[in-house]
Amino acid sequence: MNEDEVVKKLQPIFKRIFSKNDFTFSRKLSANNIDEWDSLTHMNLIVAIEKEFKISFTLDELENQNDVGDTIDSILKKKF
Amino acid sequence: MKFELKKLLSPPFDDGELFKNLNLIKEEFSKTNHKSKVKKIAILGGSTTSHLKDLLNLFLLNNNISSDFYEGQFQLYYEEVVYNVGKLKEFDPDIIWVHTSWRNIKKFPLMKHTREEIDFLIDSEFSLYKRIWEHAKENLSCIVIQNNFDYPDYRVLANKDSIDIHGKIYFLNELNRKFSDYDRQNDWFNLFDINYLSFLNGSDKWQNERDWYKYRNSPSLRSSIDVAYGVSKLILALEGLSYKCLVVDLDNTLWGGVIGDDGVENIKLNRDHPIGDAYLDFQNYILELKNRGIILAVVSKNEDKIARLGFGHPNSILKIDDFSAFVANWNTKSSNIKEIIKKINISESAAVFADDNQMERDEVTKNSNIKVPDIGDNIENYKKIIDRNNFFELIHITSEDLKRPDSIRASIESSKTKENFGNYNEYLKSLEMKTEIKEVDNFSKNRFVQLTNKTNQFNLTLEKIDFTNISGNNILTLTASLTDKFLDHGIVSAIYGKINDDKEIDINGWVMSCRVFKRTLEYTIFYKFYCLCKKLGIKKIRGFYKKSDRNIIVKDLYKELGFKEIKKTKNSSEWALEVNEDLVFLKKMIMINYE
Repeated sequence: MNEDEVVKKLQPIFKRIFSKNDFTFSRKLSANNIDEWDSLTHMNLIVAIEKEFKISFTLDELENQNDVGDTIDSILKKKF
Repeated sequence: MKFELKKLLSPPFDDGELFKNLNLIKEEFSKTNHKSKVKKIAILGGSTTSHLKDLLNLFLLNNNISSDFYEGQFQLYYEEVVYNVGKLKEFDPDIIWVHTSWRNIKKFPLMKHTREEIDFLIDSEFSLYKRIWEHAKENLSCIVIQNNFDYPDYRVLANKDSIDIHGKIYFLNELNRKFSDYDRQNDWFNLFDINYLSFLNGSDKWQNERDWYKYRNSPSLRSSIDVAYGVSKLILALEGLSYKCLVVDLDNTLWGGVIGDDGVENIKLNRDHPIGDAYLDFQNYILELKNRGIILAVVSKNEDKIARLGFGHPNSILKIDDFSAFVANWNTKSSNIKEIIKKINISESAAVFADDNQMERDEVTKNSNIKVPDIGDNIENYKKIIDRNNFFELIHITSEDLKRPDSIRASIESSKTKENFGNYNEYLKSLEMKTEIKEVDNFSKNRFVQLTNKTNQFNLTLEKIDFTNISGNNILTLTASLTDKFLDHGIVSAIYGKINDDKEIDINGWVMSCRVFKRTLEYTIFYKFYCLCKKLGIKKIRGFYKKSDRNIIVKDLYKELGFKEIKKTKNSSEWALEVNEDLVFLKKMIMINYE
């Protein structure tokens, strides 16, 4: 899987979960840019991503994901 | 709401899709106006509860119950209830759910502990919970839902962990047994079996250590869906909203093959064939449901005579008499089911339909409110899929529940008899009805509470009660049971009133099961009530009616009994009867013999 393929699957998840919010999907996107992105929604996001890509993030990976870019990199590492 | 979104809220759950759409579903629900009453639910957690709250709310909304929630502070469940920490009392909950897991055990045994010390540890852990429950009951007068314990996913004593008294599994099993014993002895207490749920989920899904360390979720986020769904079903059952009836198709649902084409001797229903064996087990599951009080019915696209042949198969576990209603013709299934439901006198939303045919399932879903689980068309899955839905959740098992399926079959048969009588009164007399009317005692109290809380049609005040409401000196409570030549219906009506200092009595609640409408039993039970009031020196009886969309049938009851209307608003009325007045209804009463 390459980055484009990951983004293509990742973007609709964000659009669906944050359907009420106006945002641009990019590597820089983080909880700071979307009001609704609180800890509860963050958990929804993680479960949805894990199911979509059939992966499971480790505790360490979750601790180090600060923006969408980090999440993409974690997925790429697992899906290489 | 869109069908796809609604489907996400029924088992089997697609956790990824559900979490992805959670915000959207919430938004959809917020658009619809919920007119139903609001339940106040406090969740006190030994772990994070925010997801459980969200999911429980959606599952209840999906059944038209809106709720206010209170989330306790993290792991302060004991302090909040026992020491009044926080704003729990102010919130005044109807229900408290103590969501705890094995991670909340204060002190597990150590290897050096003696048997006495371990027994002491078990007792102290138990009494901590008992204090929570009893404080909740006494100080907050609410219903308690309490998790039992799941297991850790490691065993220091390996296989011996459940056997040796130092094992954690042994310890948790002992506690779980004490919790279950407590549930059996206390009506207001409801144990929620997460131990079984964890088994269904499998420990790899249930225990997600990452979810615990990162979010303090126990069980895992994904398993919290099943937990919230299970609790929603328990709350619905407490509200009297469990399903009551299972309607089944025949060909390829109760037996393998098509009876009209294959002939009764060739349908698959035999233990020496893998598929026949599976059908027999499914039949047995359905029979077990019937034996615990679920009403069964058949709806089949078939010639009636041919359809019935299947139950004459020598191996068939289900017999034709196990079904309260049987319809085989070529009409649409939705219209047939609606017809049956009318005869049984339950609402559409109390019936479940099982059919292997996707088209039939879709037809019924589209044209009714009947619940249609997607059982697929593989016999080995039917039982599991129906069971996972927890349709038939129950609170107490009463002997009336067990009699219900036979009782309904008898009443449908007796309504056929009715058609042969020109005069309704003659018909009623022919039923040879007998009633026993008594004050509530220890044997009848569970049934009294159950009947009062789940009757929606013949229900004058819609008041929900627990046993504390109806005990005391100045309270008069009666139950009536009914027997006729077809059947013993058990306790079918209840009335209770409170006597005030001026020797007047208020009828605060009066209900009757829809199975015995139009039998004039209401006159007989009221007559007995009236006679008792007279004996107690009561001067005036006051009755109340609160209108809902389902109890129109009793709108004029007090008028028929000779009460005078003394107050009236749009949705309620108040009535009074002087105890020395003549009883106008006596001539309408078929004298039901009573003891």
